[in-house]
Order: sequence, then C-alpha cells, then structure tokens
Amino acid sequence: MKRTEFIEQLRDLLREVDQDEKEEALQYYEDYLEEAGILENAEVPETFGTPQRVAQTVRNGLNGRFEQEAKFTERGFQEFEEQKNLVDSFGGIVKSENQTYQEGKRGKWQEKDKRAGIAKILLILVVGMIGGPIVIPILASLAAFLFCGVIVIGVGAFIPIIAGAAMLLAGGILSGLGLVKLIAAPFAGLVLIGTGFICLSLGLLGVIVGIQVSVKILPKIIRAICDVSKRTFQRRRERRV
Amino acid sequence: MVFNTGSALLDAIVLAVVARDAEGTYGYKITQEVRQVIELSESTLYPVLRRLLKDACLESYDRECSGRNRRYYRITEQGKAQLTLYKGEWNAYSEKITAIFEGEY
Repeated sequence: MKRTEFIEQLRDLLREVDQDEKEEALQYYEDYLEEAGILENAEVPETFGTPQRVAQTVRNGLNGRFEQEAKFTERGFQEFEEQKNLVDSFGGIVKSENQTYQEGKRGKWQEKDKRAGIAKILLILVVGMIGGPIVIPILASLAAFLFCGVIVIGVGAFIPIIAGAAMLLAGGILSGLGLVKLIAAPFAGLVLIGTGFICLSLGLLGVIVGIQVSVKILPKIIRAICDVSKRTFQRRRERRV
Repeated sequence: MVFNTGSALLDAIVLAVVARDAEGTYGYKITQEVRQVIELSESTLYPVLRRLLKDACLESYDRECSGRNRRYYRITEQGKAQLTLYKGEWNAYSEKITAIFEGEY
C-alpha cells in the first residue's frame, strides 16, 4: 500500500475522532513514514502494520488505554488479540501489571471474606436464637467452674504452706519445751523433743510441697488456660487472613 | 524478550531517550532508539508521546528541517522530575529482583 493511500485510509478510520486529535495523529504518522524514508508514492512496509492497527493504537490512546498498548508492544501487534485476552483474564491492566494483579486478587479475597462474614453473622444469629438458652448457661457454668478451679488450686497451694509454717512453729516450741523439761523430767522432755522434731519435719514437708505446687504446677495450669484461649483467637485470626 | 514492558516502564524509557537530546528529538528517532532495547511496533509510541505531552512531561515544537516541518519533543522540568522518580523506583525494583535471583533474600 502506498503512503498516500495508507494515510487516507487512516484518516477515514479515524473519522469519528476529534478533528484536532485526528490531525495530530495523521501528522505524526506521515512525519514518521517520511523520516523512515518512505516517500509519498513509496510502499509502506507490512512491518509497519495495517491502517486498521494504527487506527486502533490511536483510538486506544485517546480512550486512556495506552497501558494495554504498552503491553502489546512486547511482541508487537501480531499478538494483539491474544495479549488483549491475557490482559482481560488478569482483570484489566490499569497502572502497572503487578499492582493491578494484586489489587484484583485482593478484591476477590475481600469479596469472599465479606461473604464469609455475612454467613458467619447469620450462623451466629441462628445458633444464638436456637442454642442461646442452652449454650449461655453452659458457658456461664464453664466459666464459673474454671474460676473456682483457679481459686481452689491457689488456696490448695497455700494450705500446705500455712499448715507447714504452723507445724514448724509448733515443732520449734515443742522441742524448746522438751529441752527445758529434759533436766526436770528427762523422759517427758525426750518425748517432747521427739514430737517437736516430727512436727518440724512435717512442717518442712508442707512448706516444700506448697512452694512446689505454687511455683511449678500453678503456672502450668495458668499457661494451659492461656494456650487454649490463645489458640481459639489465633484460629479466628488465621481464618480472617 | 519474555517479560512485558508495562506502561510506566515504557514511559520511563521514552523520557530517558528524549532526555538524552537537550535540543529535543523526533518521533521516528525516539522509536528507533527505544526499539534498540525493547521490542516495539513502529506505531506504538504515538499514544505514549501524546500522553506525555498531555501530562506536561514533554513539550513539542516544530522546526524546519530540509524544507519541511518536523515535530520535535523535548523533556520538561516536570518530565525530568518524573524520570528521576522512575529511575529511583527502577533501581529499588531491579535490586530486589536481582537479590531474589541471586538467593540473597
């Protein structure tokens, strides 16, 4: 196709385009061909593309769809349609491919999340209405049970300590008294000292057991309770992510 | 070339090519220079140049050359600022990609 013919076809294809824009585009391509050494009566090489392709390029530019054009440039216009499909299947290229792709993906996720959120609310409502009278008392008693359990363990740890301390005190007094009595009544004194030592050892045992319970077992129980609640929250968070 | 050239990158390349000529340069020359680094059809740059003009990153003027008017494109201050931004983004981007290829991440 001759250059004059090419430009005339292009002019015809762009007839619906704004006059100024059309003249600008025609001027550009005419200059371009001139610079490329293609004179008015010379043939426009096929590698330049058809007037239809060029018109499409110009129109896309005017419609703010340069971005797709830019994408096509990689393999040239030969794969125009294929590239276009590729673009479409990615949800449209807006600014940079990466961004939009991620945006599109995120959008889908959000939509899914929103749907999941609505389903969750509905489920909670239904369960609440049907199961409320049953579930709430169960939960309340479970909480009360846990609360009582913590108090019992706490007190349970302190009882041996207090009892042990009392025993130690009693043992000390008894053995002291025994020492005093040893001179006046040796037998009674020995019995008192012996009883006092038994009390001391029992007291020590009680203190040790109490400390062990409060230092080792109590934190474990508390940690276990924390873990259970943490896991429930984490699962919820994971689902959200 | 297996990688697509996005519009931002194409803008950056065109700005860089135009910026090389302080006097300005013309459509055919710009296209040929861009074509040396990426595959590009001959007609593609018109909308890109038009948009860069609209965005005031480029300015155009006509100059007579061997008996006919030739349209020249020259980079503006705004275009230079945009090009600096693109260069910075490109450095950050390409460094990260290179690092992941080299197993540094």
